[in-house]
Amino acid sequence: MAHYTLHKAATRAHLDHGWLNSYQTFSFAGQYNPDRIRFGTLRVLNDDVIAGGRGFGEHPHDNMEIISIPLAGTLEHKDNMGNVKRLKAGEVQIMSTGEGVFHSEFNASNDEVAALLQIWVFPKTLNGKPRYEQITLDPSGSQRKLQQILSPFPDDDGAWIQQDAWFHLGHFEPGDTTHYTLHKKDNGLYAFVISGSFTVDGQLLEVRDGLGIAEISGDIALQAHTPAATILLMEIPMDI
Amino acid sequence: MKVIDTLHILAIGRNPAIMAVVERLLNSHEHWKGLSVTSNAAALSAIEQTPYNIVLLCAGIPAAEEDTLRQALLQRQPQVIIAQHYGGGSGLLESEVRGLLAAHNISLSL
Repeated sequence: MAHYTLHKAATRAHLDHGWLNSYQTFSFAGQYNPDRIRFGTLRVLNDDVIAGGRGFGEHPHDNMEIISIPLAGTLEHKDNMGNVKRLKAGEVQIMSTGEGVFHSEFNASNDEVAALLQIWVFPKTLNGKPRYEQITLDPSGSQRKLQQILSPFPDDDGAWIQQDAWFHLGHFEPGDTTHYTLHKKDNGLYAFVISGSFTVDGQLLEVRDGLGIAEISGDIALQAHTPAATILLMEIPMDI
Repeated sequence: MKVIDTLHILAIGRNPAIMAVVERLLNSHEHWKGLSVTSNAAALSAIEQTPYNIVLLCAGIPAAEEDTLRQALLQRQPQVIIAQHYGGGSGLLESEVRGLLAAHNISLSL
């Protein structure tokens, strides 16, 4: 029987630094909640809004798969692998930080905010070679259906990370239904509603709610309830 | 519950630039005292001199060396808590350390 962990949007930690307004599903930086450490290998789910002209200065990361999904505005990325990129909504950024990376992420606009989901997944193995990837999604691929945006395989749809994880994104209209089938039997699924509302496996989720489902035995049913409803599904291993 | 005045943390990794940041982050906490080293020899020397509460294994330590290193650290200081550090920065460091303190019933006398 499936086991559910519901994270209502209002229960997320909230940090307002002025330049950064962040809602954090799991314990991050100075916020510590022993009941909100991780869901399986999903360790960070930050919902960040960065003020114009501001951003994260150069800082390091290692041994973490970092996925950034821009929701609004444009980010400027620089790293010590030589990448200088711009990232906007409709694209996905992957940093496999492995044995170590230094990077910065700034709002490329001085006037408009940039919004993104910052997601960290524990890697399958430690100390891998650092890697940067950025992809542009086909906008028609997620209309009223789920679009795979990452997998463990370089030759599969979307980007790839060094973990047995599959992420899907979908934009739906009221009454649309679909289902999700795990790629790997013992994996869990974390559903995060970006906009609108959905029922996921019988659980009602409103905007920015998250639902972790473990011990899944069959397909997961989804139904959208509002116009332009968007959901992110993250299938991840449950053990680090 | 074990109550301590200062939390001594030794961080071991191989990337000097990242380890310098980790050390700075550890020492930014008022009651934490951190040291970072980039070799196993330096780690063993450090643990012989200071009663560390926690050792964080950071990026770059080859899997083949890790078991030997853990054993050598425990041989010198059997009570030390050894844990893997993920992320290389401020994102997870504090909650990792606070989680270890809670799991081992240690608190800081603030």
